[in-house]
Amino acid sequence: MIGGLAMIVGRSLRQHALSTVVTVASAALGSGLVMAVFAVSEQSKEAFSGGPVGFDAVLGARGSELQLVLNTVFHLETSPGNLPWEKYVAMKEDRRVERAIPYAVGDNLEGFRIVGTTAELFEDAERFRLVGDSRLFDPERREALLGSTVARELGLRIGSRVHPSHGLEHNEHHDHDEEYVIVGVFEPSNSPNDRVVWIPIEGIFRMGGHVLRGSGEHYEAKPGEEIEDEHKEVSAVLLKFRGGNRTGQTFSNQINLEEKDATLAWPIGKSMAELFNKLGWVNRILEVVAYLVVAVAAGSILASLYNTMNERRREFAILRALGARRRTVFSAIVVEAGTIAALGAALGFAVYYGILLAAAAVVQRQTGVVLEAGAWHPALALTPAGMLAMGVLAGCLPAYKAYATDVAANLVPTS
Amino acid sequence: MLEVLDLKKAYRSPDGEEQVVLDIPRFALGAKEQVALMGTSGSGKTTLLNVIAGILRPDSGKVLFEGEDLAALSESARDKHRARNVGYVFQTFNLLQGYTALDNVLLGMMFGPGADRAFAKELLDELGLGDRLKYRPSQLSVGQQQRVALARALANRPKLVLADEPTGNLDPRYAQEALELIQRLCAEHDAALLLVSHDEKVLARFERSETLEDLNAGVRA
Repeated sequence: MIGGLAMIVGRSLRQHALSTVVTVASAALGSGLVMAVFAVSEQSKEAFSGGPVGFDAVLGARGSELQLVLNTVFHLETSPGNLPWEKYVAMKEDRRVERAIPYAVGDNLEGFRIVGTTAELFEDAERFRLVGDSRLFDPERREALLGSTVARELGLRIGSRVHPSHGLEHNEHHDHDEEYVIVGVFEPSNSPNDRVVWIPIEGIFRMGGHVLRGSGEHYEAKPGEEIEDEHKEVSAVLLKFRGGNRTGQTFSNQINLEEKDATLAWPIGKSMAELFNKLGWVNRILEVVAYLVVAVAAGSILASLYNTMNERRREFAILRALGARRRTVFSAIVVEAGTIAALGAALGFAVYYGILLAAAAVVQRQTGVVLEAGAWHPALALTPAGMLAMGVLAGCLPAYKAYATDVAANLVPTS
Repeated sequence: MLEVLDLKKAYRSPDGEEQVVLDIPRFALGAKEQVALMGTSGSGKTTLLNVIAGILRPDSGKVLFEGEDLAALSESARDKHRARNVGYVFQTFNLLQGYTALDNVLLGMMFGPGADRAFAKELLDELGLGDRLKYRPSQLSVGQQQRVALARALANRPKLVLADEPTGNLDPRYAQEALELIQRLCAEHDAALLLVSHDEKVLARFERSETLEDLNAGVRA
């Protein structure tokens, strides 16, 4: 019996090859889209809000925590403003703070963000591994370190000389006169840091045209003259606490509730998670669209099978005359629909991986964040199962038509 | 082996009138017996074969096959009976177009006792189609198609072969040859044969022949 079913189904799929291919493709598209929507959104959320960044909090000017995190951790968006240098010093000297790293931004190298900081940042050997003959910059000199993407895309290597541009978008008319020498390139870290040019923070202070307002008054650094701390500013301070959450909560209360000129983004992942939660409605719309595509795929299975029922009435009558039960004929159509859906679901993985790889490439190019293409998500099991169920369901109506075939009337001719 | 008793079957015409097609007080067929049943076009020959095959259920009466009343069986049980005990040769052969000659034979077996590829090949070989196993019906001559249909009918080693105008689509020159083949194979495979035809020349080849008009007492009245 099973052999008979397989023979009937296989023959029909081959006989109606074109509609089989089209319906399998639509099922694959539907299945792949649903998996991609769920997986990409989940992995994006994971990558942007769950990944360890080596710090617990970001201290910045009063404003949005999200903007602060985007600017400091993901090197996106503009800085919400600057903090006086003394805020950084206060944090650095606080016994509850294990590490405090200042960031100063405002320049770019052909579109890649330049971050002024201290060499202390690179003590985290997990995230910052220099390649070959690289070395860290000398804080007193015009030396730069490159993230792997910057080096690759700009074709720069150790010894290359570059001119930073003012602002976060590249404009060749805004190139600074200062020339920096590349002294090191980092290995790929699959993080936003791959897209950053690191220079000594002193370099930002001294870049031509930069005005420091740490004291409340405009100050421009002069060559050979030491900059008093009161003039210095930072865009943000990355913080790692001793004492974990309790310290984080204490600082958060102290800075966010009691101070007026600073914001502490703590914990870092929370701001990103809130962003994804706020954008949840976009996901809902994408999910609805994907479900509709699945429904259309199921509809196309139904329509393609139903349309063949008239031409196949004689075939069913012959099968019945040979001894096939009604349920055998019914099963043959349901199995045929299920096979189309199963093939579609299987090919859906190719669609899913295609979409995921494309999305991952775009996200990595734009942000440096890497989405994990092989990561497990329940949708990878539930969607094919759902597609199969929809296909089987779609097969029931044409199957009933086959089931109800009048054998005698369709064994033409009669005499 | 087969006994039809007080069989009645009627259809309702499009204008709502009931038309009695079969009203047969008694008809019997012994094991391995070969009978030709004559009847004019539209006299109910196909309907009778369909009732005997269990495709149609009679309105009343009994169709006893080895003592079991087919009319009392469920549709599924009649399907099972047909797959195991009955071979059917149609006038237009009713081969499945997308399938090869061998697959046409094998498919019929799958609903019965199970596919026996060796026996299917043996049958086709016996019918001179050993080199046409992978040909589709459209690639075979009419005579070859009929032989595939005959192989399919005999594939489940049925006790009864029903043949509905099996020579109706054949060249007269080949019709006699085909008839002889059907009779010989049914005899060799120990199957009874009930063959319906409107061709009087067919009668001459059978020791026993009946006319449906004679059997159909009620309709005649």
